Amino acid sequence: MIRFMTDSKGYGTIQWVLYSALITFLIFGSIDYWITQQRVSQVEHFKQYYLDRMRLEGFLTVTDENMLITKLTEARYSNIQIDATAIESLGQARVLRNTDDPIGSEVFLEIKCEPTPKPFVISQIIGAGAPGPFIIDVKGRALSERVDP
Amino acid sequence: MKELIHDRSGWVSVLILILMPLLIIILVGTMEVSRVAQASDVKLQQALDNALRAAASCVDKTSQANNDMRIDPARADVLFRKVIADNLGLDETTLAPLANSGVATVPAYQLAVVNGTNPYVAEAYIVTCDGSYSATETSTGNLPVTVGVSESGVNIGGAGEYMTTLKSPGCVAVIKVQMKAVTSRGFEVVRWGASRIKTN
Repeated sequence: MIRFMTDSKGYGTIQWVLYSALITFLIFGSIDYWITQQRVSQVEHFKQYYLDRMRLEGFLTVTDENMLITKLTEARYSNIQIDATAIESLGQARVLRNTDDPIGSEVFLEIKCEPTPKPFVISQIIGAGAPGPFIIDVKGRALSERVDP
Repeated sequence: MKELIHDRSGWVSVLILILMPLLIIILVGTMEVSRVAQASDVKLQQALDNALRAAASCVDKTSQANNDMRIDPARADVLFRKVIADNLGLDETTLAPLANSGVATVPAYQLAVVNGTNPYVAEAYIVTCDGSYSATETSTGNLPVTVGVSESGVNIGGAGEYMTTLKSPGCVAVIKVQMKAVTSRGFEVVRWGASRIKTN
């Protein structure tokens, strides 16, 4: 260590270059992680808003489905997949309020999408797992308040 | 630059040795803070809001028939637990975390169903679940009723860190959850919410 520290071959500069790369990698990685969490939160908020709409409507209306896709696309998400208890565009019936049957009166909404650009995942760079699509998957459940079809 | 190239003091290694723990702390801190925000402000709060709405929708049938809607407290608690479990990835009966749940341990909660004076159901019903389960009935008098909320639970008609007034029958809950963390054993988050039956 002492020999390394007293080396006179200009290693100070080389060390600085190497360490700078490491520091930049760590800082960038943590910032990107935070941004990714914000992206997940954004999709969670979309999900909650349209789950609330489903709670009132009893299903995902065609208008809401289109609005959800538009908003996600505008927010730069791709490969959007929407799964729900009842979707109007598929011709499914509304889920109606029945507190005696909580399973039958439950509305469910799941959104899967890929953020663009794809997040920088540190673990993949250092060899943990093969890089694949980065999918944000959020879901929520609530009880329908729709009384009358 | 020439001086830097010929520098033989090895100060870079020493500087990095000092800075590296600090950088790692910042890195882990950033991850933890964003996870706490995500877990508490988004996931837990949304789950609690959905559960409280479900609880408040449990209108007692006799009261509904008499056009004087009150909440069936036992049913409200069943649905509150179900919706919390569904949204946080917990077992519906025990509330124990399932695989892939972001929750580390069984959550503790206190749910107050406030109905006010009425001939159909309890005026107020408080369910406490913090390792053991208990339910107690109390009287509140006529609505509106002010409910104090603090980390320790709800206080009907009393003080609290936050206060909410129920003008119509409703539910107030405080939930305490140990969320999974990146590095540590977990972090505890506490959230509260309220919902009430909307009447004219």
